[in-house]
Amino acid sequence: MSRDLLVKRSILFFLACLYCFLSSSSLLAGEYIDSAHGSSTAGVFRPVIGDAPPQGFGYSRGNCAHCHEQHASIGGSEPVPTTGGASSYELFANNFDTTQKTIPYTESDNFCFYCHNNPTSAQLVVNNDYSQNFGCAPQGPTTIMSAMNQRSYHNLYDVWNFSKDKFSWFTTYSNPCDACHNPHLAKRNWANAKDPAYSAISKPTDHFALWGTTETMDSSYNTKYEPPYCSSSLLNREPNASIDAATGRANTPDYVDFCITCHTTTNTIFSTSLNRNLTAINWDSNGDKHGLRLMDGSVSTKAPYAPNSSGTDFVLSCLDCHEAHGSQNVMLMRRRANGSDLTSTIATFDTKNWGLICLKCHKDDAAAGVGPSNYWEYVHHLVSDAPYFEQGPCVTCHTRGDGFPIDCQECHTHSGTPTKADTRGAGIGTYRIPF
Amino acid sequence: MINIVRLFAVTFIILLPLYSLARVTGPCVNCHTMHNSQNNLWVADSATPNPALLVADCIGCHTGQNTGVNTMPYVFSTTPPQYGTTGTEADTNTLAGGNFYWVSNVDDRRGHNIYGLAGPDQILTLPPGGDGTFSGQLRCAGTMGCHGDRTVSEQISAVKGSHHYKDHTTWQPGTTIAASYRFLDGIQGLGDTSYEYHPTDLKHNKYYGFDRTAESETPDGTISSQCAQCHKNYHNGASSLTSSGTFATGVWLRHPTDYDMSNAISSDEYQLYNNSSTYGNNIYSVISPVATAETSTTVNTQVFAQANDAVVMCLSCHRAHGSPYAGSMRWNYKAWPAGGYNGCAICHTAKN
Repeated sequence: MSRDLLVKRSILFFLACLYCFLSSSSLLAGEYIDSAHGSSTAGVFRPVIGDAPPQGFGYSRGNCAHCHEQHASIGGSEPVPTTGGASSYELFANNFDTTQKTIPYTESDNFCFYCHNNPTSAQLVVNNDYSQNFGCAPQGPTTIMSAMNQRSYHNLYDVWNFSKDKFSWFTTYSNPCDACHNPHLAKRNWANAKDPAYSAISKPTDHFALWGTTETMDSSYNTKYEPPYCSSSLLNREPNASIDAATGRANTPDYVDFCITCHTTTNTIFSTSLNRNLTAINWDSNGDKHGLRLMDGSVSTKAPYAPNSSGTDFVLSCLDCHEAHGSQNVMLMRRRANGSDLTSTIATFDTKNWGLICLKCHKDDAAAGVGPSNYWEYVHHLVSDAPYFEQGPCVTCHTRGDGFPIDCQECHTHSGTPTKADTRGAGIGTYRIPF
Repeated sequence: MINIVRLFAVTFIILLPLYSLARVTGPCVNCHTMHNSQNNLWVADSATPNPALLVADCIGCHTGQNTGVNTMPYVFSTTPPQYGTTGTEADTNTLAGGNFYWVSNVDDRRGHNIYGLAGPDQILTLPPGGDGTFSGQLRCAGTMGCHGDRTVSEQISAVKGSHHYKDHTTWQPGTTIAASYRFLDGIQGLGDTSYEYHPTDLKHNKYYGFDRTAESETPDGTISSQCAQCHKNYHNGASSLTSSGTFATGVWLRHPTDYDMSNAISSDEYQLYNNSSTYGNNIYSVISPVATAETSTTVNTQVFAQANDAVVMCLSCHRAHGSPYAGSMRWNYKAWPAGGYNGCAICHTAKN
């Protein structure tokens, strides 16, 4: 055999070995062990299951047994927490208490709360809210359960009630958290907040895949999406102080498409918390102006939404304004938006404090240099194309007759079928879409 | 005419060795002693003769190290057996049931603690999942055991004579002790003639299973129904397995057995059994095997190839005798995912 032939065969043999090695390696790694729960270093760990004997059974972190008891027992008895008989999906406790229709939630109401809670009977998992983890806010609630036990929250019973009739994989025994999360796939996005590959969400219509890993605000909207500022310096963007706008939009999952899986114009979703059906959301071009509908006049925005090279029409991500789990404000409004904290809570529906979040992106009188903060004469009456440029009888709108601002939500709300407001320009009606 | 005679003769000669393999062979003295005395010494394992004139009891005969040549299946070794990762690798020397070595020498969790091999279980006073009717230490056979006639208390008497009538080449219909799979009374199946020494997808035990529709069903003759005699609630019973009582309409409360995975193919998780790229004719896994309702002598080398050939059973995960791993698991489940092996993923292909 010639030396050249020997070399060639050696190379081929090496490549063949490398292929076999890589092939076998790929078989060893899977979606579960890459998930937050399945990680052998950061995954699920119920102490009685994972602690070394005699205190525990010595299972590896991330093992199925931390959540599932295949025989409704381990070693012939039920490990703590002892919750009685066998539970659905072989879980160690009841999956979801469908009689618990509103807050306050307790640990036993939802299986996930055995870990996503503090203190817990199993494993304490810290999860900060979106405002903090992705929006640079100071410390807020530290667990999912505590986030939900606030003024507004994604009502778990309502999620369960809607999902069981809507999604084929979702059963009456399912956990409402699963509507948005697949616990066997969800990754630790909070620990990798700038990398959407670590998505924690799955669309309920595609439960067995992660959402947002490649479906980002960038891929869906490109420069139509302007990531909000994050740090108070206004030098970086969401999520999690991404270095610039391009990076920020590439780092943000397409939450719009995710949320409108349920919050459509056609789905009827009853809210036990609100005691009414939820307002339909229409993010299309014939819907809200915070979505794809084009502006119909100036909106007096602040940076980074002020007119720029990308144009003046933008699309917002739902999570630019809303928390996913719960909030100290009504309607899950975030406690920080576009680089600064709200100066007060929005504690009721009928309050001028709505303006505290509006002013994060729109110019109030203070920003326009014509008056105090959270006063809105400038955008309504003074700007050149003001919708109420013509000063008419004040009490037509200012029914209290005191000249003080009207609560924003009286005119500006989501609407599945937006209608034009009877605005008055310089002598003529302008009829603008108000949201 | 002469050709026909020759044909019969050749056929007889060909089949003779197979027939001989099927049952106990060799001189009587290999197993029996007439007087328990030879040169004024005991022949049996003690001065007290064994029933059926046997030279040893179950453990005495079935202790040794498997080599692939031995026809006597050794289920207990006095030195650590070679089990490997799953007990199926080429360098292993354990059989389908595993080995009692670990429960005898390591701890109670690694197998059935048979009297004579291990002390009474220090953790479990009753069989887990049982209805409380079985108490006392387990034996190989008889009323306190798994093999033989479970109405006969003395274990050798419980299997007496059956070794002489065992025919491994035919489907075991469970009609007699000898005609039962591995002398498990009433259990059907087809035993591999080498007891799964170095099993492959082409050469392995053929376990009998049944696709149930309700948790209260107690199918006759399935391998899992054997386990259920002591571990009842893990197999059948009201509120034992499903939230609704009826399979496929609720969710599992415990891991199902005697349930065909083809019923659960709404996602592709089970369709891809044994790392298959497509659904149908998946290669049989000896690491996490499944039972079948098909009762021919043709070994089930593929899964999802015909109706009810993907039946989950207790032995999909466990070794009946023992293994190096807790829960007598076929693989080191407890150590996964940090280490160990995820045999669960043979079926739960999305949980890897």
